[in-house]
Amino acid sequence: MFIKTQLILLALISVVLSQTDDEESFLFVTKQTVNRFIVQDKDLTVKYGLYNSGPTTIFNVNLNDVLSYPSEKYEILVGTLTPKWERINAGANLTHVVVLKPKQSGISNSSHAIVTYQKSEKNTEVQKTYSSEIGDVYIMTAREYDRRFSSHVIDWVLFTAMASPCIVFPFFLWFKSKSKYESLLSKDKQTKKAQ
Amino acid sequence: MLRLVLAILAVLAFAQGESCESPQFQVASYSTRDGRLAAESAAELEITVKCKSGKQPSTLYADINGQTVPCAQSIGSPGKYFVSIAVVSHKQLTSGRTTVRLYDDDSYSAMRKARTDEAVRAVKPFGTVELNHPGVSYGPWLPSEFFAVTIFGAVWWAAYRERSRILA
Repeated sequence: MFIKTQLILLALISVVLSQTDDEESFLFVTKQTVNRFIVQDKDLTVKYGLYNSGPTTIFNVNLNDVLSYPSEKYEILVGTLTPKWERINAGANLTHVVVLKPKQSGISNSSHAIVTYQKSEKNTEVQKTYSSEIGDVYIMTAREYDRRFSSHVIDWVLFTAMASPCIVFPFFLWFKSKSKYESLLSKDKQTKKAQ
Repeated sequence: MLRLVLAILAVLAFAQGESCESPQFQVASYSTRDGRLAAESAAELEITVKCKSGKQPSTLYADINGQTVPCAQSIGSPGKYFVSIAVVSHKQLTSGRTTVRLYDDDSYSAMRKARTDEAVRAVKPFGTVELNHPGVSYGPWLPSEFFAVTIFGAVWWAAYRERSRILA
């Protein structure tokens, strides 16, 4: 009887101790772009959201997204593709923004960012997680974007320059003959008055 | 006695070397300018901190619009700290100058201990930087087609009036 209660007590303690694994934190990372269109040589803003869902603080968080945006294809305007934070408190929601400039047009794939962190300050065991991905995107050329969105002032000025000979030349002919006719008319009136 | 004095001086020197004295900030900032290219607004401050003692603060916290967030640091460039703001609509990112207060570890813990709003504001920050957001543009007020139509319409109308006068 005594041994039975001891065994039950031991079983309960072991179950309770193993439950502490669920008390660890987990970091969720989302990766999105705020652009409606991705245009060559124009800003591409990528937003990383980090959320610490668990009850404890996590340490030494490193985000690495260099593989998605190689430097031959993208230029970094502001921000860094390898940010790090010393600690993220429990329940904290952080945002990191990187602004890139695509150098080439066409279809491009941007994959997951790799995030590593430590669950406790002393335990240096590193936990690795991946962010969400944006996937395949179409980078349009600057010309396509301008066709839809630029102010077209230069186009209209050129159009006016090309259309003006069609309008000005006949007008000039008519004006010349009209002024000649009117001057003849006024000369006639003058001679009639003199008579 | 001399050893005690030396020890105290050494401790003071060491303590002074730990914190950053009179920091200087260099800021490169970015904010969303084109309202048709981006659906949401975002802003970023890249702050380079130079300390007289040469030692960089280990963490910096930024207070943006009442929210205090830790700054990101870059692995490649040690003296740089990044502050990011991302909002859902273009209107939420206020245009003009916004002051961002920076706190290092000491001032951050002092701020956390403060209980009232006034005490929070009384905590001396590590430094302040400014974010200048010129605003978001949605394109020209009047499209160029409007001007083209009005000018060519006026030319046509003048010619039509003259023609009716001649024929009448």
